[in-house]
Amino acid sequence: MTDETHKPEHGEDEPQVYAVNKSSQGWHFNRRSFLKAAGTSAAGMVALSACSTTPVPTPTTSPIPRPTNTSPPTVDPATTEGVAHKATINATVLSPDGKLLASHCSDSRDRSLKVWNTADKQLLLVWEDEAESLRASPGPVVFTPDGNVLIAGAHRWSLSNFTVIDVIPNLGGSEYAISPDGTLLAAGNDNALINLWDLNAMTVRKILSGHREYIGDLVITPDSSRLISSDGAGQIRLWSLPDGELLAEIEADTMSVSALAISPDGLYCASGAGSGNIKLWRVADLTLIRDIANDGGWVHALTFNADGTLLVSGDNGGIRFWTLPDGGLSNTVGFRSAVQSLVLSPDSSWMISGHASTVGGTGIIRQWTLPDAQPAGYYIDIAANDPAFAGVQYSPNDNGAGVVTLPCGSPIPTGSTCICNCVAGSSCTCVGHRSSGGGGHYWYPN
Amino acid sequence: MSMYVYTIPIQDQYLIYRPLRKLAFVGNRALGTICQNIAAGKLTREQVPDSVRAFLDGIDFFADDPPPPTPPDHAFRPTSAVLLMTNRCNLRCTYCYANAGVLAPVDLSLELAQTVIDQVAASAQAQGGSYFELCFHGGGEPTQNWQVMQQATAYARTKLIPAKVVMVSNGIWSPAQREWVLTHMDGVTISFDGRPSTQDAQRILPNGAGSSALVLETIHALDEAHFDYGIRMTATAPWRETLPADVRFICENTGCKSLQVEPAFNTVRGTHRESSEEQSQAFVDAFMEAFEIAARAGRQLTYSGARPWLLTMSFCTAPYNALIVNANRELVTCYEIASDAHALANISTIGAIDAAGELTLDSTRRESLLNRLETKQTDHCADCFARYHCAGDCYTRSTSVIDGELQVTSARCQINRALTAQLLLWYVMAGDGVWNGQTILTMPTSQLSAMY
Repeated sequence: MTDETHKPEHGEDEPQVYAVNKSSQGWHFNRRSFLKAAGTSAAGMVALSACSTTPVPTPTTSPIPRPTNTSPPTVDPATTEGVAHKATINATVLSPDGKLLASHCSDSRDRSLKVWNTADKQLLLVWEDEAESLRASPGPVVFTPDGNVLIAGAHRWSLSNFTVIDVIPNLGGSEYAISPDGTLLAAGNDNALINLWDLNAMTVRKILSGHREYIGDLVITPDSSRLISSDGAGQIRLWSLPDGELLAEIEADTMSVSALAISPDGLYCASGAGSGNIKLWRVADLTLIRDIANDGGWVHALTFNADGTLLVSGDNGGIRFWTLPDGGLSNTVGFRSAVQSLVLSPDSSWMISGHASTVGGTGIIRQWTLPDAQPAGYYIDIAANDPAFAGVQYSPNDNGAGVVTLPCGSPIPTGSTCICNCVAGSSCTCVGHRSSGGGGHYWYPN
Repeated sequence: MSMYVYTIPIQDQYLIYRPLRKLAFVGNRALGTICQNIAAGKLTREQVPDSVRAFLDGIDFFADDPPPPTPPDHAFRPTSAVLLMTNRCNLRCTYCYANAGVLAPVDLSLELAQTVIDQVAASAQAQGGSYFELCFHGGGEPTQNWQVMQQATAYARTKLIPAKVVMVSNGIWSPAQREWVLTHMDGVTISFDGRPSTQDAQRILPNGAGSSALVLETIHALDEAHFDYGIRMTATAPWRETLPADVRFICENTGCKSLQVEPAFNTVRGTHRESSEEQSQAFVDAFMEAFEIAARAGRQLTYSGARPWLLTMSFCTAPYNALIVNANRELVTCYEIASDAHALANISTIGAIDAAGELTLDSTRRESLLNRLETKQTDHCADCFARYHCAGDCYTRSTSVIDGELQVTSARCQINRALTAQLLLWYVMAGDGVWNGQTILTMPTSQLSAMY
C-alpha cells in the first residue's frame, strides 16, 4: 500500500496544510502538522463554540443584588479598559454625595440598571430590567435628594440594603427630574406629556401638555420653583412649580433638544440639540444669552461645574469644555463613540462619562479627573463583556470555576488559567477591541 | 465519487474549497493537487499519504457532495408585492440610478396598489403560505406617495392572509410619518451612507444641504423603538479612505444590526458604470476592513455578490416570486426598473396592469429573461467557484448595453469572486484552520436574498 501512495512529483513540494491568521499586513499562512490539524479541525469549531458559550457569570435576575465578589479583584479598573454594559450607556446618574453611580442601558442586548461604588468602582447592584420599564436616553433614573432612594422606572430602591421598597403603578416615562426639595418628580414620556408626581403621596399632581413631540430632557432649578422641558421638535418650555403653570415657550432649535442643564445658581439653562447647537438661556424668561458654535454633532449631555464657570458637553465626537460666560472652547477630549451622558462630582473634581456602543459592541463608562480631564479608569462589569466579542477568557481559579471574559488586550491576572492561548501573567496579545487602526485585526485569541 | 473541488490561489498558497460541502481550508500546491486528483477519481483514499489522509478523514473530505441547489420554478406565483411608488424624491443623491426627483412626477395609484395586493395575497394563500409581503420600493422615495402608502398598507391588512409590510426608504420623514411607520410597518431598510461627511456629500437635499442629521434622527427613533431595520449603504471611491470609517460611524452611532453595502462606480445620475480592475480591488480591500469593523461591533456587513453561506441557483428572488409594478402600470422583474428610461427596461418589462385592473403577463418575454439568467449561469459561470453563491449575479448590474447590444460584463464578477474568497479565508481563520459550513458570528438571513 505504501508503494501506491501519492508521491510528490519531481519539483513538487510535500503537501502542507496551513493555519490562517490575519494582521494589519494581511493574511498569514503558518504551516502546521497534518496530525495536529486533523485533531483540531475536527474539534476546532467545538473549541470555538465552547469559547462562545462557556458560562460566564451572568447577572442575577431581578431584583436580587449581584454579589460584588464576581469581579476578580485582580482586575484593576484604573488601568484595564473594560465594559460596564453590553450596549450604549443611556444614563449615568450620581447620588447627591457622589458616592454612588447608577447607570443603565436600554438595548436588546442589555436592559439593566447597575449601581457602582465610585470610590473603588466596584459593582454593587445589577437589576435586569425584564419588564423594560427603563427607557432610552437619558432615562428615568434619579436619586432622591437625601440619597436614600433610587427611583428607576416604576421601582423605588432602598440604597441602604439594595432592596426594592415598592413598585409604583403608572410611574414611568423616558425622562425623570426630581426637585431638589424632594417633593416633586417630573416624568416625561414619548407622548409629549409630563406627569408631575407628588413624591410624598406618590400620586400624579398634574399632567403638563403642550409639547409637540417626545420629551427630550427635563431639569428643575435648585430652588425647586421652575421646571424646564425640551422636546423632539426643538421646543423648550418653562413651567412654574409646584403648580405646573406654563410660563414661557420658545422654539429653541430646528432639531430635537436632547440635553438640558441648569447652572448652580439657577439663573441659566443650557440646551443641546441634535443639530449640534448649544445655547445658553436666562431661566427667568427663556431669553437667549449665548449661542455656542459646536461642530461635534448631536449633543447628548450637558452639565455645569460646581461654580458655574464651566459647561461640559457630550456629543457624537467627544467631550467639550466651554468657559462661561463667554462660551469659549477650552478643551476637547475626542472619541469615536458618542458621549451619551456626563455627570460631575459634587465638588467638580472628577467626572464620569457614559458612551455609546463602540467597536466591540460595548458600553463604556469612563472616569476623569478635573479640571485637567485626565483618564481615571473604567467601570467594569465582567459579565458585560460578551464572550463572542472578547479576546480573553480565563478562569480565576485553577478548578476552572467562574470563567470570566475580558476584552482583547486586557491583562490576564496572575495565577489564573487562560482557557484560550493567552499566557497567564502577561497581557493578551489579541488585537481588536483597542485597535484604533481599523481593519486588519481579529479578535479571536491567537 | 461526486465532488467539486476548487483550488483558489491566495498569495503563495491555495484555498481549497468545496462549495457544495461548504468545506474550505488552506494548503500548498501539492495538497491542492491531491484534492483535485481525489475529486477527479485519479487518487483513492488509500493512495493518499497517511498524514494527509488522517487530516482529510478528520474533515470528512472523502464524502460526496450533496446535490446542487434546485433551480427556481418558472411558474408565476408571486408571494411578494413590490410597489415602485413614485419617481418623486426629497433627495438628490449624486449616484441615483433613477435620476429621481427631477423628472415629471408619476405616482402609483391606490387602485393599482390594491390590484397588486389582491393578486399576491390570493397567490400566497393558494400556495398555503403563512403570509404575503408588501414592499414599498424605489425609483424615488416611497414616502413621497404617502397617502397611497398608508391606504395600501391598511388595505393589505384587510386580507385573510397576514401581510408583512416593509419599505426601502431614504429616512427623510416628518415626525408624523415616523410615528406612522413605527406603528404600521414590519420592517424598513434605510439608505444611509455613514459619516456626515459622506452622507452629506452623496445624499443631498434638494436645496443642496446635507441630509445626515435628518436621517440620523430617523435611525435613532428606530433604535429607540427597537424597530426591525437595516441600513443599505452606497459606497463610492476612494474606498479605503471612506468605507471603513463610514461603517465604523454607523456601528458607533446606531443600533443597526444589518448593514449592506453596494459600490457605485458612477458619479453621474441616471447611469450605472463599470469599475476598473484597480477600483474593484480597492473596493474589496475596503470592504474587508469594514467587514471586520462591523463584525467586532457585532454587526453584519454584507455585499450582495459575495455570500458563501448561501447555496442557490438564483441571485435574486424578484424575477421569480415578486409581482413588481411601477407607477407606469408595468410589471417588471427588477426593483430598479422604475420606468422605460432604464437601459434594461426592454428585457425586464414582462406585462402590465390596465386601467380596468386586468393583469396581462407576457409569458414569452418573462421566459426569455429567465432563460437569459440561467444561460449565463451555465455558460459564463460554469467554472466559477462562486457560482452557487452569487448565482449569476444581479443581472441589471452585470449587464451593459454596448452599441445597442446586451453584453455580460465582468467587473462585478471580479469583485464577487475576490470578496467570496476573502470571506472564505476569514471563515477558515475563525474555524481554526477549517471551515466546515458553520455559521460564523451571525450570518445574514433570508432577508438578504429577498432583497436581491
